[in-house]
Amino acid sequence: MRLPILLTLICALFSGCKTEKKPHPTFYYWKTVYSQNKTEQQYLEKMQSRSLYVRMMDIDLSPDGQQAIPISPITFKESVPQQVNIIPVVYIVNNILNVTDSTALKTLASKIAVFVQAKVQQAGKKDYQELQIDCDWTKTTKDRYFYFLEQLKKLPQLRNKEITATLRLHQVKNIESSGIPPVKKVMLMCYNMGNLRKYGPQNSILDQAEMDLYLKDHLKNYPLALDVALPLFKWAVIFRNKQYAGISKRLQPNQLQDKNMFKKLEQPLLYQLLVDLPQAGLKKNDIVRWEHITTKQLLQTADFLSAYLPSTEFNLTFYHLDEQLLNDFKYDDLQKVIHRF
Amino acid sequence: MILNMTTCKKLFIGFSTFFTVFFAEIAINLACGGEVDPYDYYINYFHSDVSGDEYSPFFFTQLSFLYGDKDTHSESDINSEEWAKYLQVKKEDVEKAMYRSNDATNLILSKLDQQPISSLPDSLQQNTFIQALGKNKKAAQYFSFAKSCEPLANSSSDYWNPAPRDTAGMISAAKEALDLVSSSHGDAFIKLRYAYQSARMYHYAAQYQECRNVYDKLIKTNKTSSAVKGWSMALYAGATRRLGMRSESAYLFSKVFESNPERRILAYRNYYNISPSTDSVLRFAKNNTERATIWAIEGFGNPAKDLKSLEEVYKNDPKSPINGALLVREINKLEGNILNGSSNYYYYNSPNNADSVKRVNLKHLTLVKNFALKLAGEKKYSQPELGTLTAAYLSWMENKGAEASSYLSKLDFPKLPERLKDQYRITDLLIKADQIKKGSSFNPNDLLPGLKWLDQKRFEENKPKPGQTYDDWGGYNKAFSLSARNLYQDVLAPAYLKMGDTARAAMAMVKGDIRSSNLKNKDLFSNMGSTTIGYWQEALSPTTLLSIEKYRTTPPQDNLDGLLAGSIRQLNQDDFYELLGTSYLRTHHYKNALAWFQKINPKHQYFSASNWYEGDEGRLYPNAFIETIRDYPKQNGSKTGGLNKKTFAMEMLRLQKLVTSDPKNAAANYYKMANALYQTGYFGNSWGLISYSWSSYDNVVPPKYDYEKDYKQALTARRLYLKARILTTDQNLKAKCTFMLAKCAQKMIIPGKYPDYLYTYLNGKITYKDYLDANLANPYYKEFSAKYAKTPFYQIAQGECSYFREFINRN
Repeated sequence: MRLPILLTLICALFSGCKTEKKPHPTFYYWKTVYSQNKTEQQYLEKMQSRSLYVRMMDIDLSPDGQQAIPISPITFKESVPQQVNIIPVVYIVNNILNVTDSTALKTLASKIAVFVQAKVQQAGKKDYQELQIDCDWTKTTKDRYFYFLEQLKKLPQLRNKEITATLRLHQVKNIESSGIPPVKKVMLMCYNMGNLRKYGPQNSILDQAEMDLYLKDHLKNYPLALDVALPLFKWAVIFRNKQYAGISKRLQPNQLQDKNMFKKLEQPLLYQLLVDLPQAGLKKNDIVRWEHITTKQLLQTADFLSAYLPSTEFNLTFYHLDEQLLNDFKYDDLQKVIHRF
Repeated sequence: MILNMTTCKKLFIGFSTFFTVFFAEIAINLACGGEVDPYDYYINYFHSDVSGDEYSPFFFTQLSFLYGDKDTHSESDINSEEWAKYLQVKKEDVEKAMYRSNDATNLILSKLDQQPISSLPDSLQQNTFIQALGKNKKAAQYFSFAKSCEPLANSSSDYWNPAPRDTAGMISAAKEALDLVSSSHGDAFIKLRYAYQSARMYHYAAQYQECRNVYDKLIKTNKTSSAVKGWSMALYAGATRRLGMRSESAYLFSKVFESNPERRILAYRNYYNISPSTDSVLRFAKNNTERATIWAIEGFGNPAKDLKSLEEVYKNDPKSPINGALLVREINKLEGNILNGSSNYYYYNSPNNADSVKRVNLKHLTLVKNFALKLAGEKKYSQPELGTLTAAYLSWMENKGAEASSYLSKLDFPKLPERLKDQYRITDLLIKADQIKKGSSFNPNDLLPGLKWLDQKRFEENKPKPGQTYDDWGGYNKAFSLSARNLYQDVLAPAYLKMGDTARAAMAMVKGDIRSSNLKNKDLFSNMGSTTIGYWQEALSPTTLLSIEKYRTTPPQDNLDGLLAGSIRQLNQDDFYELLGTSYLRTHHYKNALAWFQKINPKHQYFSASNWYEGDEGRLYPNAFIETIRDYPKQNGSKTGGLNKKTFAMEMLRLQKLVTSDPKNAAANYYKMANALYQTGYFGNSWGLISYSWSSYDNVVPPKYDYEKDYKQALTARRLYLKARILTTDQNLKAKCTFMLAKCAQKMIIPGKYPDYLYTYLNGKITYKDYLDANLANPYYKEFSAKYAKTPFYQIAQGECSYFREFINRN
């Protein structure tokens, strides 16, 4: 009889160290054309994702610079599966807030609501419950942004819906200058945290040192409910003469392993191009920093967040739902990450 | 010039005069209606369409990208014609079904191949084209397919419209079209069209490489001769551009420009959207025609002097009508740079009249003339006479009338094409009109046949169209009206003025304005343009007007005078008589004024001043016979108690008589008349008695016309105040006269000579301080202070006039 009591005590001790977290796994859908892909569907089903965050459009200036307009709005070739709720996401370029006054912001909110409603219906859904606004606002645009969010909330067609916003690491740390958006819940974007344009071996997508710096002392006290977004993506960051030269969209990862084409440098992630590669827009001696995410990194991030994230139940959103990205991760790997919380 | 001055008011005056002068120039130029008319902003006699209409969208105007934005040929017309031939049916029926059907009908037509003709609505059943489709399954299938592509192609351009372009649908349609090409054995006509639809759908779906592939594989090789090949080339060119091959794309668009007049403007716009360097496009040209086309596009798009493009086109394709079109453009450009006149919006204010610029322009004229003579001599161009005619006209522009005539005499008039005949006649008129000068033996009546012909042409242009309710004063499609106006107002009228013949000049001005033979409104000033109105209302003396009256009332004769007088004769005489009477008011001949006013219909509404901003609500009635110390605020009369031109004339006549018949009160009556004449200045409340207009910058513009002696300078008032002062013994009255003399003298201080004021002001030649000092140095102030300080009036004046107080304080 003593052993069971001892075991229970031990379990109680362990459970006392860590609050039980319940992450709901889901994905961002960030492509401009939605079509049902078998692999992508399977992941959604296996993870029992109840929602899908779907990018509706960017908001940026029209080519003539006169007004804010939808950029590359999504088109739905097929409907979003019946069992998956759609959470529309609208990305707002920060500069829009600099050039749009309060009257125009009010109108913008209204136009966005109408546009999103139509898109959601094109997705095969009658309605939606949550609208997420994605904007990397700054100290100078804070007031306008928050005003814009207030206006959204006031719209009759959005009154019964939840307006949420994305949150970046620096906005957690610099909570005073960044302010707290007038929403009940935010999505913490745990990616793109480093300096993309700085030459060096750092992984600007996911970097533990950065997370420590921004979140360690601040995340626990963040006053709003927090969801979490984790990266699955990868990209080739190009440097020419140690100057940032862009991201190459036409470079295949297997090319990096070709010793005739690339020489792996000593520092992590860095490869030197040995020949000209015009089809990818690259020149000899260009340096490629191949930023990608490993399961190990995700597990490390999960450990960190589970220690500091105040939420108990939250959406754990992977960015983003794309067969090519998913092929780098076994389904079991992702499950491990989810259960790490 | 307001009298009450404080320190801050000085500043205000300084600024206000600065700004009024600064904006005055623009204000004057825009006074008559705002925007500049792209079809009437320079003196034009050489009509844009002399060499033909083929390239009419590219006629010269500097103020618009295209002269007209409709293509010379209609795409629907061309396509309907092709289908009509193919199916042996009526072209109109094809057009109706293909291009003029509404959405509901289109829906039916998109399923045409799936249902029998008998099930269609009556209107469609009776259409010969539809009937033919009923018998030709393959054609029907194509037609339905084409209709089904329409909803895909017509997408909205509203950014905030959430309905997306159905690019997936387009790609699917493109692929379907390709399948249907394969199944259309032996029918090149249908095959070509399916291929076109495929290329089109791919293009709109942004699948540019696929679009090009379709063209290369299926359209380039298709043996049909059809406009569709050109349309496909346009798609191919566009896809080429999107794929980054811009110069090649421009070259391809130049081919469309040449081969498809129904898509010429589209090709032209695309070419200029790309804005390639000429050399980079010429590299692709395979033959002379292609080179000529590229240079043609360059030439059409160049608003500056450009002989190079013309020479290149001529070198590569001397027969092409483009040569004529480009040559006429060069002539029009020269007209804009060389011909002076009131209709030239830019010339009036531009430095083009500077000698150095004149020389440059005349140099270019010589080059163009030489080219024209080459064109005429080599006889490679289809209308070599155009060259000779050009040389004649350009010679006229250089004031070389004899040379111009000699070129004209080289032409065989009866054999000329109609438009060249017209241009010949105009050039001939111009040469003749130049000979109207002092001492010339030229008989002006020689102009008569030509002017009558010109009248005919412009009356034709202005025949009201059915349902038209407005008068069209614009310049589009009014080349003869504009040339006639320019001839009368910028050649004849100045010629008459040079000879001192103001009456004929005035009549010529009006003759130039009357465009139509059927006048709805016969009021004098309603039928004049703004320049003519200004001239008539400001410049004509009683003598001139009496001469005009003589012409007006002389029985009409079949000569030039008869023609000129005819323009006035058809208009109402009341306005004319009012003007005559007013001209006598201006010269203070009140008896004569009244004589003309008596002839006016009692119902006639005389001109009356009004506050421009208040319109009819702001009528200002004269109140001339009052004493004032300050000019502002103006003390206007009331509607019932106010004066009019007649009652003013009567009172002035009465006073004039009194000063001789009642010498004891002469001073008082001179004083009264002086006050009244003072009030007829722009600074007074009765300017409407002698002027038809008032402007807030009248104080800045130096006087030009006789009546401005009163209207701007108060000279007659000054003379009469002096007379009153000499004749009276009453010190107070002397004081009043002296004070008014000061006010009159002040009107003579005009800040510099307009439009130099701005420059002298900025250059410090006449500074604002100097201007103030001049005002304060008014000699009559000294006199007023010295001699009349003890009069009751002095105290009043000092109290009311702060400017005078300023003077006192300074001294």
